[in-house]
Amino acid sequence: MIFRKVLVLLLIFSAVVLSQSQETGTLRGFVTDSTTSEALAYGNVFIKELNKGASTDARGYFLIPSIPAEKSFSLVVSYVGYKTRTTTISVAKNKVTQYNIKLIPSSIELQTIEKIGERIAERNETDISLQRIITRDLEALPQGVETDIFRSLQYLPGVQSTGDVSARFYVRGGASNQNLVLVDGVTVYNPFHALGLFSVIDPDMINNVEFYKGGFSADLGGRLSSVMKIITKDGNKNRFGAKASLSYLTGKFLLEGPIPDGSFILTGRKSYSNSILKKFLNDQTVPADFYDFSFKGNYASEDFIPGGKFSVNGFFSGDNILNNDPRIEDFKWFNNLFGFKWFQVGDSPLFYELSASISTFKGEVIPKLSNVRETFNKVEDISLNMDFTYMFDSKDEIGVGFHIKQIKTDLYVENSRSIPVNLGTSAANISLYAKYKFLQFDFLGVDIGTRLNLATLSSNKSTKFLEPRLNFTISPFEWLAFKGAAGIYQQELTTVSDENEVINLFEPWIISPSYLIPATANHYILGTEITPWNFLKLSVEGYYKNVKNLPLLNEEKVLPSDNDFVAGEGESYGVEFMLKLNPGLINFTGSYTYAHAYKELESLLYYPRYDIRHTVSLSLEVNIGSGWSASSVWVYNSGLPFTQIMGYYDRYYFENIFTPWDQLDPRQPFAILGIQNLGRLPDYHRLDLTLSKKFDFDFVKVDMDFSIINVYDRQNIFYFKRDTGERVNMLPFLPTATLKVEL
Amino acid sequence: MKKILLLFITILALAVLNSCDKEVYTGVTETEYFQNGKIFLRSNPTGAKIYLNNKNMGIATPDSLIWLTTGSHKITLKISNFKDTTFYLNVIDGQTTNDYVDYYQNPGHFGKLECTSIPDNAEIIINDSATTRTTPYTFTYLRPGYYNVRMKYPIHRDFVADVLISGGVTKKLNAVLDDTSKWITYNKDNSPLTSNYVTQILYDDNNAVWIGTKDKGVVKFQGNTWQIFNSSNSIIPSSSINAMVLDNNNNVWVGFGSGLVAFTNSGIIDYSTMLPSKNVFALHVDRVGNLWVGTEKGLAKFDGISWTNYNTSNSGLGGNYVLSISSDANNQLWIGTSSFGISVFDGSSWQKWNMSNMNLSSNLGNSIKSIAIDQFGNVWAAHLENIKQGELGGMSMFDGQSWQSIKIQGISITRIESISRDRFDYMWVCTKNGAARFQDYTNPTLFVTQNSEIASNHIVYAMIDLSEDIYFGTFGAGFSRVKKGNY
Amino acid sequence: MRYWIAKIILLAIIFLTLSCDENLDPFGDSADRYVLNAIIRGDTTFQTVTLTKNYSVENFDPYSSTEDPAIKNAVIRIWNGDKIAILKDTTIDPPEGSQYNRPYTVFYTNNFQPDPNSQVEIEAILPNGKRLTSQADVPAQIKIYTSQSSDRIPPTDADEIKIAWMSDQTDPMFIIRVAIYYFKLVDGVRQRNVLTIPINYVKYGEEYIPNYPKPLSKDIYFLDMSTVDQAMELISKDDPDKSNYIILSCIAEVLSLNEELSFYYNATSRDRDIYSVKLDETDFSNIENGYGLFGVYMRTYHVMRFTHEYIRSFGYEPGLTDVTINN
Repeated sequence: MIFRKVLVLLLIFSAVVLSQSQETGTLRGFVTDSTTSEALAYGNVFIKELNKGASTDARGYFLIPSIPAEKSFSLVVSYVGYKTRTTTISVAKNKVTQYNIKLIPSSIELQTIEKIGERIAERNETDISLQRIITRDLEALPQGVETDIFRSLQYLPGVQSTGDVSARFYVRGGASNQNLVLVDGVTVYNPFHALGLFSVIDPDMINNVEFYKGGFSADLGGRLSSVMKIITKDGNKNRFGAKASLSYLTGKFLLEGPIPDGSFILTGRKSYSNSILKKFLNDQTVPADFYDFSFKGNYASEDFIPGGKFSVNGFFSGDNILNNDPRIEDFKWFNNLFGFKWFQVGDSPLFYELSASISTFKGEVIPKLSNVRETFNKVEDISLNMDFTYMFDSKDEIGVGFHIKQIKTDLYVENSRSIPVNLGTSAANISLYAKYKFLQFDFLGVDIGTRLNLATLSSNKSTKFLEPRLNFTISPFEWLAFKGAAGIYQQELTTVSDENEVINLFEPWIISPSYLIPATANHYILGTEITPWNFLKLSVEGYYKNVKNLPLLNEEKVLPSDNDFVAGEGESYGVEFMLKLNPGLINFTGSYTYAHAYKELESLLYYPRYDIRHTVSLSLEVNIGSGWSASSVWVYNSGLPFTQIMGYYDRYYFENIFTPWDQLDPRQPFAILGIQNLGRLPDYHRLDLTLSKKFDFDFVKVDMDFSIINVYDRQNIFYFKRDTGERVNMLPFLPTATLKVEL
Repeated sequence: MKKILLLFITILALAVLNSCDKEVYTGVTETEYFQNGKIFLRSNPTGAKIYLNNKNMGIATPDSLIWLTTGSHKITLKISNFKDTTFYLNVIDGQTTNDYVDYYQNPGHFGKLECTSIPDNAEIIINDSATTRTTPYTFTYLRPGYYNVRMKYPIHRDFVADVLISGGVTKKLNAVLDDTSKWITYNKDNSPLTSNYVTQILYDDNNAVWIGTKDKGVVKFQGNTWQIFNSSNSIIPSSSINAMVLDNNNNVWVGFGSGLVAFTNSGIIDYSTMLPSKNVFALHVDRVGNLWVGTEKGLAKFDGISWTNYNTSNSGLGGNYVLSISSDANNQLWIGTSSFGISVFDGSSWQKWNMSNMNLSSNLGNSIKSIAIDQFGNVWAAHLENIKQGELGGMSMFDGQSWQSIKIQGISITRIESISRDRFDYMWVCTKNGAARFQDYTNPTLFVTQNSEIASNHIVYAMIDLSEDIYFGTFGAGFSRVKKGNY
Repeated sequence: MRYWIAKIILLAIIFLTLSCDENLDPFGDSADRYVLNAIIRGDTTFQTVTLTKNYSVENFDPYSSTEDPAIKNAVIRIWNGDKIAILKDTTIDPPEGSQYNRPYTVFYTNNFQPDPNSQVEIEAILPNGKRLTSQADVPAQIKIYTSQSSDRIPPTDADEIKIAWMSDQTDPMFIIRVAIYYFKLVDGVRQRNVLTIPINYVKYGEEYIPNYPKPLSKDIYFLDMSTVDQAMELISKDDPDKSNYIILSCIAEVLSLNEELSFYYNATSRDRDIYSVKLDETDFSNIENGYGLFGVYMRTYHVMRFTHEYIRSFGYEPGLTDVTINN
């Protein structure tokens, strides 16, 4: 009912706006790759004569309003790695004219000569703390064992990790469960494979990624820290293709091709060997066995619904850690996503997207004969999203959306009396958002909006109703922009996990229990972007973030009736510097982050485990030519906090309670810990190199990657063993190779 | 311009951020200071348990409490029999507070003992020393503790008790003194007699009384001295006595279910190995001084030197299971067996009597529990009841010619414990229903609880000792004595 | 342009590789901590308590410390109502098989048995005046429901053994052990042996791994006869001479833990899964001014007799009289 009312309102509204338009028309279209028909996100669309342009969005969609009608213009469309294309266009009066533009990829040889600049950022774009990553960026980064978008993110300023071993990331002092991962708009609850060493997202299925480190606008919600929006590939509309690749860890395949009025893509990945995992886990063998599988189908027919594009996508990942030994516990966890999407552009500058999706996560700890607590977690998320965007001729935009999320969680854990209890509940979040993007002046961009929570997942009465957001950009000169963002963010889900664990398998999700007020964060971000020359870009961003009612595991829990969580507080601030240099065939990115993160529990302040003071990341890509390219990344982190061991004491254990004390000492040494995270580990730094070569044969393309992780074999400490104080290091010098064959 | 701006921003940012490190929790430093005040406590008597703040500290005076804080501490001293003493002591850190409690300084700690008796005027002896006081009398200012109190009255049995006198308490002791001028009963509770279950009783040449018990060995009683012999303090094989006899040498022979011993001047001698069976039921010394032993497996004779065995296979003995033995003036041996009647042995030939040739008027049974011969030569036999066989319990008498069933006026003799002849040639028939003494069985003297102070009607054995006092051994009530002249 | 960047990177790398060979100590300095471990048994008068302090080690093996961390000459008192025991210390060599290679000092008394449903209190006064104290509740003795529990093996009416009991405690925790007691003849000498019967045996390769029962919150325990059969066979595994085994009986022992022990058990006995690496661990202690544990448990026995037929079916000899079939 609400949805229909909103729709009607919007249509009326857009009609009113439409009727006001002048002797102008609107141009819109999709920019795609001519060979694969994949959308080209964040490309440049520019009308030469009018000195006016737009960039494509993640769907490859662009819209330029207020073009004088019935006149011819040259439309220049450019994209990194593609030949720039110039087309003559004209638009009809008071109408939306659609031009779909296909760009031809520049050949390997051409790349060595031609240098195509980055997309021309719109001066007033309100994109502070937003990082856009396209496939090409991913390929350029050192591969390591397995290309992984989550690991690549860790090179970004403001994104921290606690070691080589984990793909988990922490954004600007936020916990790892405060990051939202969306695959085609569907939440992935546990995006990790194999003890969190890798993410479940196969890079081959990614078209582009939008990563918000904070300050995200009103259309996104549900998490405190960050949002990662992964848009997957649509599949080749022109021809069938197949791709296979092999790394030390996995075998992968990709199939794509046209279907009538559309395309499909299938990707799959399966682990086949876990010997490389030993390097990650201090020579421990893990019988990890995982897979992920995705498909997507697209359909867009002018005969069916003009301007409509439909897609169905699915994503399935599973992990099994099954030990033969009955004394060692087993683990299983699965993500199953299924989504349907309808993207519609009409005869007006209005577009909307309707989507319905189901995302389930299931995780299990099966103790067998071990003493591990049995755990079973299940999350069922059914979401219905409606998002409407209308662009005025003035370039101002209005966005309204309506999101319904029905979540059911089950979390069976054995309580202290070995009785399984369900901590899960079921509830729905209904939220409405509205935002207005003020973009009519080149020197100013403002995105102001709010989320309204009509129904909340948390049954706590203090759950916030409004989550106002503000984003702005002021650009006094073309080469200088000041940007800022502020907002209130709420998270009603939490994980029952202990962030003091350096490795954990999966984080069981539950709806924030009713005795806790859902956590809220305030973000305040200010930054500047300086582009003195085309090949150099410097950006500086400072942020301050505080979190109230942060759910922390209750370490004092003894009685079954004690709460599992206690409310703490979090605070973090820092400044991030990033320099991008792009003088020709090399690409250099350097970043430095200075950050502080704190947590507070019962007015005691401490450092969270991912509080890293200084982070330096330097990456260099060189396009050598003849299909050869090389890249290197050097990362430096100042030491992570850790808890010191203050000695040992003899602690009583029950294992041999039936054996007399004079036959068996019932005690074992137990380490006494100092104040939490007061010590600092040594600094971390590492250099990785990758050399890759592309062979382009007639019928087949071959990619070979050779990488060295930790080139100078730096002994980076991972952790000190709690029970002995023994040092465990992270990845040593490790050469790896990947082979990719594309038909 | 651009470069300057860039530099400026960088410097500004660094300056701002370097100054904003927050203070995190670094733990609390413990400042511990222990106060070491001491209390040293003594008392008279020593050994008072020390309580601090109502808590038993597990130590006793003289001892100290240490590591006490400055201030007042509640101390309680507890010693058995005295009243608890509670007081507060002030302690100063680093110093020792001393305290001494003399219980005897406090009259409240003394006790009283009130002695009364029936009859009055009994002499009171405390801890074996005469007090020169007679009942009723109350002793005061007694120190707490155990006292042995004896009240004595002529021709009455002494009353003896150990009493606990506690501080501030009057202990009352009321003694009922038994008149011992006529009848006296000795049992487990009022004498050193170890068991109330008497099986045999006899006196020896020294007029010592020997009591055989069912379960606690042999008790020898002479005047006021008691001697106990049992399987744990002597070599006797068991504490359960079946038979006893005195031989002509003043040796006391005792038969058990597991052997035979003789109490001699030179100690206890074990003869168990000489017997055909260790299960001894009857002992008898004949006119010439031979000891006859009746066992489960026949008869044994001991002439002081050698042992001779008689059984059904080597002699005319009617049955091997011998229950009773007696001998007549001609030294003919009369042997009562289990199930096989009476065998008579004159030294060479055997004669058997049983239901088939005794021609009794009632079916008295073939198991002869006891047998005795009177001054006239009549043989008296006690028959055991056997309900299964339809045999009745009772007594028969053989006058040299024939057997006849005997009944005694005034007493049921269906369950006879023993028949015996005393030194004044009176016959005794002891039964579960009392005892009869007679020379002429038609005119007996009866001893039952209804007409005497005898302890129980279940009389096992009766005898007159050298002082002419009669002893009755009872089964369950010890033994009773009636003085000469009172029967 | 690109060259100076490369140079800077190279220099930085060389600098960092050379200068950052730091040696960080994972151990911090710590004040003295005292540890009192007192597990009082309700079924005996013999009680032991250990009083130790923290220690540090030079290498990474805490078992390698050879110094006895015990506090000697402390005064340890235990109260139960008006009953009190003062414990004496004694030092023994480490028990055989102990991973520690240092002496083992215990405080003991052989004259203290707490009453069920009462309170016990402990106080340890260290030679330096420091006082460690604690209180605990004594659980009620549990009662075996003899009418519902098996008393002979094999049971006549079921193919499982059942042991049921009753406890007055709220939220009790129990630890159960069912074991076969037997003699083994070694050179004509009887050696007493005990074999604990697990819930079941899980096959792993050629091995059978016993699955021992975890502490229970239920007051009933079942044991499949097939597991008993397997345990009986295990007694003489690889020994062809079965007649050397004299089987006595099967005894179930049920420990009822008091509240503190139950909590403590939960804080200690659960393993972390083997892959997760956690740097902190929750510690539960109910000792004031120190670490350690003061708890009480009660022990109850239930004897089950084997039929001779059953014992002989394995080739063993019975060591007790046969169970009357009528029972």
